[in-house]
Amino acid sequence: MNGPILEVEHLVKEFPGGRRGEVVRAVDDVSFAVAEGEVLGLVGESGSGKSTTARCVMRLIEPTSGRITFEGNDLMDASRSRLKRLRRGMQMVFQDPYSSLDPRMRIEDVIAEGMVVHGTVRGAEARRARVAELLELVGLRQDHLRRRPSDFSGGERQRIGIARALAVDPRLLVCDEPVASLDVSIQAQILNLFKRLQRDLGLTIIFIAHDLATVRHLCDRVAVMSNGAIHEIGTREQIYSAPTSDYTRSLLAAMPVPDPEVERRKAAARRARLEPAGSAGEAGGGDAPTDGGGPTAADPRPSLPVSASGGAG
Amino acid sequence: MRWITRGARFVWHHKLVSCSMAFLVVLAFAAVFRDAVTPYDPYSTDVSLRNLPPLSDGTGWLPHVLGTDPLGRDLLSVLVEGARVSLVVGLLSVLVSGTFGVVLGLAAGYFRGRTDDVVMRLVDLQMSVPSLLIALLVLYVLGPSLTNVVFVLAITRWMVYARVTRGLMLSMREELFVEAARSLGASHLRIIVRHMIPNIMAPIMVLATLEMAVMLLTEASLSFLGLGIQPPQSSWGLMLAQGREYLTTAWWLVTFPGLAILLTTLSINIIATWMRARSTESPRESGAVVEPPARAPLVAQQA
Repeated sequence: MNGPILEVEHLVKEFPGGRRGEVVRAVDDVSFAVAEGEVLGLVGESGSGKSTTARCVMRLIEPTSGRITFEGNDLMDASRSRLKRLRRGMQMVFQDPYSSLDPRMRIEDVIAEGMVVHGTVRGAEARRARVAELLELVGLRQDHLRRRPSDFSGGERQRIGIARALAVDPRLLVCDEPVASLDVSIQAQILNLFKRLQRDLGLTIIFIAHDLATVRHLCDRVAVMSNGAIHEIGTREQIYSAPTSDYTRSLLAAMPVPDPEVERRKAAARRARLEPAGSAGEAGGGDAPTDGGGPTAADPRPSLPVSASGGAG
Repeated sequence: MRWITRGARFVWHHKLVSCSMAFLVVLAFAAVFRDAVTPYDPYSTDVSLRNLPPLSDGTGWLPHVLGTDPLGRDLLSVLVEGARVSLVVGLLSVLVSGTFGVVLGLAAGYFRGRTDDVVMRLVDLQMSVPSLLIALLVLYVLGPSLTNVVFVLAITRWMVYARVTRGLMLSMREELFVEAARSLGASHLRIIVRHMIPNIMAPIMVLATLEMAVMLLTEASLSFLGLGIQPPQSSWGLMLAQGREYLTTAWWLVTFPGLAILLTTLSINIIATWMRARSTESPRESGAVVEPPARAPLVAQQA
């Protein structure tokens, strides 16, 4: 692995919340580093501060304290013009592909916006050529250029969002749950796209997800977050086969397994654990991070083969 | 051919809206081409013809369809001339107050903080003083004229736009595509002009249309009170004021300008309501699925 492209040290973000000036600490002393060309997964339940961390890294919101260094440049002290230049190096893919594209813009203009803002590609013809190239890169057809976002499905919109981010040739891509609001079958396609882009373009990716299943095949390292802090960070092998924290274990337990027998045993075990005392599960904190519990947010490989084998057996 | 069938279908489905549009188009046409449409010169007086009832014979290519006024002028011609003045005042004041209010609202909603406080306190201040009082005061000081009426109407109504625009901007700020533009490195100006304004224009246009009706009514009230348009110029409100004395003897003097005001504002309101209904059912399907809330695991229950 190469040196770190991004270093986050003691990042804290507090939001004023509630009455009497209480503050909510959304991100509580988070530190991590991402090496060049690496894919880091950031996993945690809703409200664990993973999106806030990402938005702090992008400086879309101002961190309360901490240090963020991107390619040796301190992001916290950067002036407006310097920040704009640095933003060419890091781009973000958003969670909701429906609201992240301006409904009144043509696809062409959506994707070209970064080139216009940074003046990287001059002239309408050159821009159009580059946009066409990007469309092909993310697997969309060229004749979509003049349409508007409402003509596209969720998966296609997410591809457009990815093309927009790639338009300025970033080295680092921050993906904030880019597949969480997509159909399962589409999720797999988009995950494969990320994998291919990472390999072909040598991108560094921070990939945020709320379950461990999604990031398993993509990430080199995984950081598990809850309550604004990183619980555990390690290589994929460490996290998936030898987790050290209880929280990680409970996330792992919530991962669906592509075997109906195992799933049924797990369900039975859960029922047995829940029945004696209703609050038992809650006290252990084990049942909260189970967004991925249902068959909806499943493994990149869709659930179809599961039911097929179940029918055969 | 396809346009004709589509047009016919629109008229069939939106009869009221079509009628309103037709009325406004005729009105605007008459106001623009006044000289070609009016049968008599609206400024030529002849006391021997004073207060003739509707449909009296005249010397022009039309009889005095709506009668004549106390100065012997053809009422239809005066009404068209009045439409011209009233519409110009209405449009100009909507334009001025709209621009002013929208710009302040944009700044307040986008930058928040002190800008927001200053603008919103100004709005509160303006709201707490009766607008007619300000109008009377300003017009008393500046003297009544068409430009001053536009100015007064603009300063009494700008805060409506400022409030609405601010609200829209506050919700726009939270939009993901605005955040996406920021993360691309777009400047404030670019974000406001390219992303936010196009997306808030529809409701503001509806508001401006409704405001047009308000402006027409306010202009009529000001002219009625003698602080708006001055004779020999004519406006609907002024015609009402002049006809009031003859209410018992010449009913047509107030009836027709009154009807003109009523029908115009009604048409504008009908169209505005339709525009609003149309803009909310626009094909923008937003919201979509966000992360589902944490919940107990689903138990697979297949046999």
